[in-house]
Amino acid sequence: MRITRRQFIKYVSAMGAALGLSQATLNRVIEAVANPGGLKVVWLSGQACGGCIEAASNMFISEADVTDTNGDNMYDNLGIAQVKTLFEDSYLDRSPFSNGNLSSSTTVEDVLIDVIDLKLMPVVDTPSGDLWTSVLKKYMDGDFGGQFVFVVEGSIPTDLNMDDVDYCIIADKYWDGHKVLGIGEAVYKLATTGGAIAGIAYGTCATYGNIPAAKNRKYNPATGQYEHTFAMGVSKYLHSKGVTDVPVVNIPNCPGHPEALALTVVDVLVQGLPAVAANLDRYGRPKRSLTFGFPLYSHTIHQDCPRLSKYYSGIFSNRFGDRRAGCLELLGCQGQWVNAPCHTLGWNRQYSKTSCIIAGMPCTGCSEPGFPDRTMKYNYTP
Amino acid sequence: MVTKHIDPVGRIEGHMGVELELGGSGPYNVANVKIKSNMYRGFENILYKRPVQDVIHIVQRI
Repeated sequence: MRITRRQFIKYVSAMGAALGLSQATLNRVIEAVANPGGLKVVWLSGQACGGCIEAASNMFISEADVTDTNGDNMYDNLGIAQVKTLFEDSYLDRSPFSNGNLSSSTTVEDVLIDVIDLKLMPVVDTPSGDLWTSVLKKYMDGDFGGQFVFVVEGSIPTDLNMDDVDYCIIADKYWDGHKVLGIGEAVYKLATTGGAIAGIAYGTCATYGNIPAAKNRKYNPATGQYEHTFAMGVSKYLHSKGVTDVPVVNIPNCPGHPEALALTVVDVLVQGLPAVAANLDRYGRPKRSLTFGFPLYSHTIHQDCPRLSKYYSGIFSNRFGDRRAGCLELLGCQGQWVNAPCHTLGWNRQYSKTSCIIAGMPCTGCSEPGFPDRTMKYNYTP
Repeated sequence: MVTKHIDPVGRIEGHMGVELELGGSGPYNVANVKIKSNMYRGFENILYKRPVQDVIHIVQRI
């Protein structure tokens, strides 16, 4: 964990090389990232499934991951040629500080702890109970006395009156007779009395509500309501509560796009928060990476689609999972209007080589508000 | 009877809390334990009256 700042710089510079970053900009990135204690982060988890943190954790696989204690590549013995090739042209060379075992791998937790000074994260933090909650309370009450940013994954449940409900309890209120502390109250306190300078909503749950906010048709005659949790995203929750002075950067996709998160963190560190806040589109997503000059959520799935020529040629596919031929529009692809970096950045660290479309599944618009009800329109009988 | 509240439990994904009642017999004097799973989304209710083909695309995000 002690060499992660260096590895993060390597990661960023390699990504800059892949995306065409100039040396002058790269130096600014390195200066900003190498500044210790630059950006303090409180990471909270709402109604989340864990997919977002899993996706983010896969961002920083280094070569140390595949190196055993003797320095040999473990995948040589396994004979997985593709994995070996993937890491041979990997941009993260072997760190001289690495002791070579699995625990030295650079994950997003390491980066969040060492590079941007992660203060709280329930999945990573060892303390439990009141010890953890006391740190959160310090941030919620503004006793910390510094600038910090909160990251939220997962949606926030409310009720009809925008009051907090007990559908997502993140901690015990040891200072209030062990009542429960919901995610909504925690986010509200962080944004108001805590004095957070910004929030990052990571994943479609935290941005627009996603599945927990999906349409619910289960009517309960006893209460006269449908059985949903009134889940919503962070920005909508804060606006409903009257908090409008805290900018919230939305990084949707289901799970959240890890490279988009990394590029946004670099933007906040290098360009500053006002530049990032001025870069958001109408749904609060970063239009482009300012530092890298690379489109994030300004491009649609359609315009960078690898099957775009098939679309213009009139070759359409009629079954799911078709990897060879055909535009997937007849199967219900929403790519023509969906903005996402899936084809500009790609997934799994293979830039523009992996996406749902390449796997043969039509775009279901997981980066848009209204997912899944308004965008999941698969046509099963084309 | 002393009640101990441990919420959240660290190092796990998801929300979990433990409520311990001390004062019993045994090596740790624990009389009663309640494990609380503190998050509810209602996937069953969201899936209600939905096209059955869409279910795999929703339940994969559980």
